[in-house]
Amino acid sequence: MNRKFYDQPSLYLSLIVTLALAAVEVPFWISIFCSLLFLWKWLVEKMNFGGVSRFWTSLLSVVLFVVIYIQRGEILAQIPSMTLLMGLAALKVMDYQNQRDHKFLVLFGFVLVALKSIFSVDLYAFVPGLLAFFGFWISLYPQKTKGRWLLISRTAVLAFPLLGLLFFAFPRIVVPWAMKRGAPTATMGFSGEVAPGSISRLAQNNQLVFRAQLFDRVETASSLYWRGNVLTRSYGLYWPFSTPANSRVTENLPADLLNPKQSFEYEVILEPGSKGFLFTLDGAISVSSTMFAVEKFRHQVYRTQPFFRKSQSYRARSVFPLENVRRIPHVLPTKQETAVGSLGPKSDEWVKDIRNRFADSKDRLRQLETFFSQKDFVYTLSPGVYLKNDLDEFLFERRKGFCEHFAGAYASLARALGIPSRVVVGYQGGRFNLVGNFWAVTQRDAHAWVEVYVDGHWQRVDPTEWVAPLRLSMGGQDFFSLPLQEQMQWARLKSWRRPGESDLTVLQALDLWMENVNYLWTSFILDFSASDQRELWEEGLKTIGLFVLIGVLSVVFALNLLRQISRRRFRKSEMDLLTQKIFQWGANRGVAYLPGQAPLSYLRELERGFSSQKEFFQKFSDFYERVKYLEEECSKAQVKGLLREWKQVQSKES
Amino acid sequence: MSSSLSTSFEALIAEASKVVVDKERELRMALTCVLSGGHLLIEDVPGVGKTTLVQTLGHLLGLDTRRIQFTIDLLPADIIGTQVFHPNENKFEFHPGPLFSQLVMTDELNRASPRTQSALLQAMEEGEVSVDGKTWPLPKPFVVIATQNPHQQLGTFPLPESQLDRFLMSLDLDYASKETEVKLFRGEDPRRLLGKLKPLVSVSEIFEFQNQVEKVMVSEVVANYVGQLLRNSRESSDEGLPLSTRAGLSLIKAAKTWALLEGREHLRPEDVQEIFVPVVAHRLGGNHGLKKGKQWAEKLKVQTEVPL
Repeated sequence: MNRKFYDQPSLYLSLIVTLALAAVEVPFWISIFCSLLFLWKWLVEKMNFGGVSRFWTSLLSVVLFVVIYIQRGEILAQIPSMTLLMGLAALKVMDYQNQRDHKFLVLFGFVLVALKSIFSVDLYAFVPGLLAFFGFWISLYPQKTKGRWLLISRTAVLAFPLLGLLFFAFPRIVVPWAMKRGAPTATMGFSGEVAPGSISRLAQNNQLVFRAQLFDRVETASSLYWRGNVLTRSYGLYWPFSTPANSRVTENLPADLLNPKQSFEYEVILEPGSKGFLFTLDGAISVSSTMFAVEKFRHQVYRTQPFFRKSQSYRARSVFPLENVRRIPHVLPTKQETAVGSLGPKSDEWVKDIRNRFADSKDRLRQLETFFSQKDFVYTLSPGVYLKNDLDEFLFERRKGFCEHFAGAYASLARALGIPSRVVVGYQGGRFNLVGNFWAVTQRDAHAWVEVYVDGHWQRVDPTEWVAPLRLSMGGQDFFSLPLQEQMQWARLKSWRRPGESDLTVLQALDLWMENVNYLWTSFILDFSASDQRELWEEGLKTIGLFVLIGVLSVVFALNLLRQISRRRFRKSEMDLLTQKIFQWGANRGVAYLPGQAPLSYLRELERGFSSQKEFFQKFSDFYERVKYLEEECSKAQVKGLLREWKQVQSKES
Repeated sequence: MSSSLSTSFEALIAEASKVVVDKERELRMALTCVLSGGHLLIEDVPGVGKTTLVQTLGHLLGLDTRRIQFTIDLLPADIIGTQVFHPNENKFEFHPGPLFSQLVMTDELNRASPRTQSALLQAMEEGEVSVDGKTWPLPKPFVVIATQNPHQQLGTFPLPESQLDRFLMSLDLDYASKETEVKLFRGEDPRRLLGKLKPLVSVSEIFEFQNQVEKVMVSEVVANYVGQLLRNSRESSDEGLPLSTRAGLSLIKAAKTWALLEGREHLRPEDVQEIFVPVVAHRLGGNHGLKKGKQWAEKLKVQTEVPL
């Protein structure tokens, strides 16, 4: 029976989806290879193109194997194995002819979907994968089978309680390959240094960096400063990357700061591809994660090993309000950290002037603020190219810059004025998701600001606030999606009303909603680690709620199972069971129950075949006929009597 | 409530077998069909004993038998009858055609034009004939046994599926066995016995029998089985046309007759299985022909599980 590949929509659609999902993991030439073979097959079937000879298929397979051999050194053999599976599937498509080929393809599809979901389980890969899985399953039924959708959905629904039980109760096995893979595509991103243009480049990209949920605390975008790294070495506009020294100081936190009323907790879920910076809000006093080790550095910088394939989460705790932040013990600035060289003739002159006129550091800072807010500085993503320490050009001529320019210039001037200062890079604000009650922070929110040491503690100063307050109140994502003209025009506006739920367009609401689903998926499914599981059970021992939940789940599961079984067995009367037993007995003794045979004619055959039990079979046939075809009432006692007799027959036999 | 007919059934078969040699099963089926009040379609090549079979049945059942040879130029009036003007009495009088008999044999049904075919089939369905606005009831029982040639033969008009459905059963008579043919060639023609056959049952007995057939019990199990057969035929649509509800009713009717002829007053799945192939073959086969339909029917029967 000849089949055509393109007559099987559920098969070819699922296969294409699966291969597209897998294509991300492998070199691009394999996708081209597969597409060509798919196209060829299409031409063969729809346009009566010539088929492929054995020679060509063999040659293609050999080429495939050679390429895989070349790739053999790859980590955990993932790329070669994906390549192999994809290549074989595409070759199989070429000689798709019969049901056997169909089953082969479905097998390849299942394995690819499973592999893909082991390596990468984000929602956008998982949902198409799941759909493809069901597509393959459907394609196994002949196309005209009625009720196949019902059958499959029923099985899927039945699987859910089991899934839940496995998820909560089955010990989590940490699969090394699911986490440790390098992410070659994720080198773009937060680099933790400030060079002219480094952050504006970042801010042109709206890729999600992390999501954060603040527990029991409402904040506005303009007050959220996610600190990533602190830079202390200065070359004017250029503040190179440096790793702060490990924090060896055992900090004696004032005990009352740990009081829940003085601090708040938040959870951050980093997207894959992080470089190990752990972003915290001002006044972070502790960062912990169940997934990785957290290293603490000076200046309240927290980091971990870079590169996650998978998204990772951590919890942090920050103190509030500002007075409390100031009470956190800190190391005093070292000389190297406050050193500043020559800034350029015009800048040096300006600094000298201020130094002469004002002695108090607070006055000097006020002069700085006046300088930035009253001169006509322009806040823009494309200020043009600056040399690394071309402060004069920026401050006195062009006056166009992005946050890194303002932060770098401000900190350099402050240092020159004798005030210890440092540049902080990270993200500012984010977009609040009304649906899911969390903050989504993207590359657009990348930001740099300054911390100055005044009055014996470090204070945050954000020069951008004077130049483009709208950027801060609006958040980078909304601000940079405005047309360039409007960005320039409105940057100095201070107030901006965040749209409420009723102002959202359908598309925006949908976007928020999708984003929220993705967040829930990441935080509850993907980040549900072995320790979370253990914790859940330990907590569960204390709280009965979990037990109730699990009890309900198991009852639902058991009921489902029972229903499933009863459909097959329990609903049958005892009469039917006895009949089945007798027929099984006969079949075991070589009297075949032919397909489509009627029960009475089979009983007659048994009668002929086992003449010693003739009497019983006659009696049973008679009884059967009366019950089934004359619909006479039969009492349980009668059936039980027959059952007893049947047992005697059996014992006589042995 | 044992029928006198069911006791004389075996005698009927034995008598008929003297004339129609080697065709016992077909005879049983044909009798079952006629006694159910259904119409029979016999499809086979010419010269295998179709006419003999019909004549034998007519003689034995004591039915008034008429034979119509269908040709391409046969008109509906030729079989139904016409209004003839009587000048003396100055009025029209209806002259009934050959259709007004209890057992009508229409030879080579598919040679006639579709118009004539449909006139016949309408009469079969309604049991009456309308001419010029007046309705004339056909005699009772009214049974049509139609023969037709396999479709491959030239000059035939195949019957549409809807009209095939009106026949309760279809049979094909195969060639006679070698021994029978040899006997025939040596001059022992069983057909000469035809004239000597005496009716073994009366028309009133047939009516009584049909009344009893109505009372045969159909249990839920058997009804389910028939339902399942129909559903299975509808699901595997590449193996025959789907069976209609009328097909299901026909199955039950024929099976009831079969059961009563066996002397039983309730149905077994076996009864349905016995008459299954003749009842559904022409319906499944449609214009693929009876041979194909028989294969599909056999397959359907085997593939459908009999409920316990």
